[in-house]
Amino acid sequence: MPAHSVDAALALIVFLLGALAAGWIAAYRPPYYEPPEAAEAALAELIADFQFQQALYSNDTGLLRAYLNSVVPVNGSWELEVYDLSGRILLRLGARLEGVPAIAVLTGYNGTIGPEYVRIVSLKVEA
Amino acid sequence: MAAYTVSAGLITLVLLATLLILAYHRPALLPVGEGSSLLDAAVAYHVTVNALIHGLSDPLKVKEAIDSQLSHISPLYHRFSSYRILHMDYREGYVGMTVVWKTSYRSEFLTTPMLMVKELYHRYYFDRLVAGWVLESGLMIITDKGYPPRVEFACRCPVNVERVGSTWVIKVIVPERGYSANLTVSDWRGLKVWKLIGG
Repeated sequence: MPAHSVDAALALIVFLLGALAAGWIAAYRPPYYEPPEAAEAALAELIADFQFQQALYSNDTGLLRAYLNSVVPVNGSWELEVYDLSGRILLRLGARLEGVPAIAVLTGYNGTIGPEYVRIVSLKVEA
Repeated sequence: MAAYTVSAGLITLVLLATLLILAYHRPALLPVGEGSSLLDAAVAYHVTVNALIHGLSDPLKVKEAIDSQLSHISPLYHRFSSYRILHMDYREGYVGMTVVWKTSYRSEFLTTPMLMVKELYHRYYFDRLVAGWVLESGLMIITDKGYPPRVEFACRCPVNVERVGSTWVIKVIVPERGYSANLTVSDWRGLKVWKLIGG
C-alpha cells in the first residue's frame, strides 16, 4: 500500500511539472511580423525600372533616394540596403527601421551575367 | 496495480496536453501574399530581360543565361520552381519571348520581354513591367503599369475597361476561342490584385 502511495505521489509530481511546462509554453508568444506587402509592391515597381537598375549598379545615391521617395508615401520612411552575393553590404540609405524587409535579387545589368553582378536588394517601408 | 494505471494515464494526459499546446503555438511561416508574387514576377522579368540582351537571337544562349542567373538566386528569396520558354520571336530589329514561370507556392505567371535593337545607335529599348497570369481557361493576361490601366493580351483580343466604384472592371473577349471574362482590379496604383469573376 505505501508503495502505491509513493507511486501516486510521483505521478502527481510528474503531472504538476507537465502542467507547469504546458502553462509556460502556452504563455509564450513568438514574435510576429506583418508580411512586408507595401515594401514588396514598391520594390517590384522599382527593380523593373531600367534607370533604377542603372542607379543601383552605379551607386547613384541621389537618384536612388529620388526613386524611393517617389514610391513611399510622403510621411513614410524607408531603408534600402544592397548586398553582394557573399552578404557584404555595399550600400545603405534611409532611416534605420525594424521589421521584415522585402528582398529582390538582381542578377545582372544590361546583359551582364555572373556572380559578381548579383545584388541582393533589401527594402523596408514604414508608412 | 490501480496506482500504476492512474500514473501512466496521468503522464499520458500531460504529454498529450503538452504536444497539443506545442502544435497550437508552433511558429508560423510568413504567408506568401500578393506582394511576394508581384516581386517574384518582377525578378523573373528582370532575369528574362537580362538573358535576352545577353543571348539576343541565340535561344541556347538565352536559356543558359536564364539558368545561370537562377543558380545565383536562393529559394529563400524567390521561390521559382520551374520555367518554360513558350516561344521566341525574331524579326528585323526586334527580338522577344514569352516565358511561363511556376513558383513553389503554386502560382503561375508569364514574362514577355521584348527588345528593339536599333542598329544605328546600338541601343536597347525595353517595354515596361509586364506581369501576366495564366488562368485555368488558358487565357493569358498581361498587365501593365499606367493609369488608367492598360491591358494587353497575348492574343490581342478586344478589351473593355470600365471603372465601377473603387475598382476597375475589365471585360475580355476572345472570339476565336469563345472566351468572355470579367476581371476586377482594385488598388491599381499600388498593388495589382486580380480576381476572375466570370468567364
